[in-house]
Amino acid sequence: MNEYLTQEKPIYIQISEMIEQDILRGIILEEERVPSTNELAKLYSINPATAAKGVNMLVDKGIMYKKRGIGMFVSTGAKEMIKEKRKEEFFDNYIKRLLIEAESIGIGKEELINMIKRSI
Amino acid sequence: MNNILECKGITKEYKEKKALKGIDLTLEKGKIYGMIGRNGAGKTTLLSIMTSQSRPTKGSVSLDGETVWENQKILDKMCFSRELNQVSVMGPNNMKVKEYLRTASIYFPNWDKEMADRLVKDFELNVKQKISKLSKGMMSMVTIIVALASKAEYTFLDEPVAGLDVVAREQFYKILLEEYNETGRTFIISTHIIEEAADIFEEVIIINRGELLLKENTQHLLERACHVSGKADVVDKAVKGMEVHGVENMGRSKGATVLMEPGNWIESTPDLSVQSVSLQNLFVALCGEEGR
Amino acid sequence: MENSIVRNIKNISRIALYTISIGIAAIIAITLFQVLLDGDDMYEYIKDNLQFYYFYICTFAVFVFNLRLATTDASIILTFCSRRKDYLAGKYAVNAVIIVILLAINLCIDIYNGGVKYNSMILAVSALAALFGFINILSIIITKYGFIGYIIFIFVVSFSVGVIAFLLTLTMGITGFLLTLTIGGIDMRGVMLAAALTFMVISIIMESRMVMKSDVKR
Repeated sequence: MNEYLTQEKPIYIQISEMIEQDILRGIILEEERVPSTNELAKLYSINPATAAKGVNMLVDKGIMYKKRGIGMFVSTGAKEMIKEKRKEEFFDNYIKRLLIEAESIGIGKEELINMIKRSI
Repeated sequence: MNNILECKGITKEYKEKKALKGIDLTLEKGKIYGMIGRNGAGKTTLLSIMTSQSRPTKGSVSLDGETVWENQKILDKMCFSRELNQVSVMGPNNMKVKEYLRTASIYFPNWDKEMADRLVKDFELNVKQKISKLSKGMMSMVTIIVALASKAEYTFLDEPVAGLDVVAREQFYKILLEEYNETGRTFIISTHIIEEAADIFEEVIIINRGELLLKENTQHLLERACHVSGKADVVDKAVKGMEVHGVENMGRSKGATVLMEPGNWIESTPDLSVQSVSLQNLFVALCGEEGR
Repeated sequence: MENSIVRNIKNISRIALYTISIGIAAIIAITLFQVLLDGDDMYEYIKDNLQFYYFYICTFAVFVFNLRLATTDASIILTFCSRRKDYLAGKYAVNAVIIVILLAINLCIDIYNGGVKYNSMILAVSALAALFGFINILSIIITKYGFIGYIIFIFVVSFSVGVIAFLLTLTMGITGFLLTLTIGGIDMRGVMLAAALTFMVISIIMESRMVMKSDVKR
């Protein structure tokens, strides 16, 4: 939650990703309350509307839900949901880029697989 | 001839407060230094003392072993460009820009009139105006012109971009770097606007509450700084024994800015995010800790 | 290194000429205006009021000029990394020249009017020394206490001078009377001269000390 915002991605996406990460790390547990939009806006010194956009993304995905009059809560099973989502995105976010970089500097298939085998 | 400007134990005390508390600082020739600090940290006071504008209560400033105070040989090599502002009715601000520049040309032995004229044109300054009637931006430009055209070996600029809009600031950095590349003059620049200027400072000097916090090569400093965040106990374990600043908590999450010993690094893990730190972020973490 | 004093002399002389020219231009304009209005002959008019013109020029050359230095130029010169010693040297050198020239003018006026008057010389020297001393003290006050100090000081001094002058005219008639007075064997002229010169010297010492210790603020 206490990470710096960067210029690389839209702010609201960073907000939703940070909340997801905190859920994965057990910093916010399932069925626990998530900081409100205003609290987030204050923490990161951003406009509340931007914070709201990030939060709503997670609500739309079912990772969080609103309890009227009380606040926003992490859904049961949210951790698994996030992991699944990230597994789907893993190829696009990481593997694809890995392959492109390997190709551009001439690392062949065999060499690449050996590198991975050695590191795991 | 080492061309070393040395401040030893510089202290400046006023009746109400101690502006500078024993500063030791050594500057080498031929670099662009950035002096950053909060309002009232003592930057202007220190720069004034280094250029013989003010007298320190204790301590001395010397260039190559010779004291700077009232030393014409050394003063001929220096230029201090201070912030002009719309002060009093009878102040120096009743002068026209033209005359101000003319006076500068008399006192700076290496004054480059062509450069001054060129900059006046580039900045579209009306030299017939009185200084007190200029806008904040125009005043900044006058101080910049004096600093650059003085062609002084050691040029000190106090908040040169204070009144300038972002486009004018970019223009200034360009001109400054051009001049530096051509002449290798030593520049010491104090500023509030940290992030833009971080790229042009070879070394950064941080002054906080009258004390020297650090003086270091900018890139080296940023390389040994990082921001870690994650669950509080994970963070605490990772930063044990290190210099930690700017700690923030939210629920179980914790974030901190760390200055590591050169060569060290903190590995990022699934539970611990490690990010690089901008100069501005580092500055806020270092100097923003009071009043928390 | 001698360059630095030369720079100051150059710069300060330029300022002096500028200030005095403005004064002269102003008084000529006013005179022309006056002359046209009254239909007088300008030459006669100036001749009749020579003392006044001389007094006016003295004020400009010593008072206004040094006032400008203190409020405007001193901090600029020091900001431009001139040594304080050299600024003071330049200032006093230029003032010395100005005062000598003013005394010479006074001499010329006397000769024109009939002959060298010993009293006139002593009075002129004392007056100029006192005036210079006064403006130095004023410079110190302005630098230390700002514009407000200046206003207050002027008020206080004007008031005091007014009161003293009034009292003198009541008890002794014209001030010129003083010059022929001898009290208990001591020549008052000598006392006046000595007092004025001492005052001037003290003011110079005080101002120099202040400048040497000062921090350039603006």
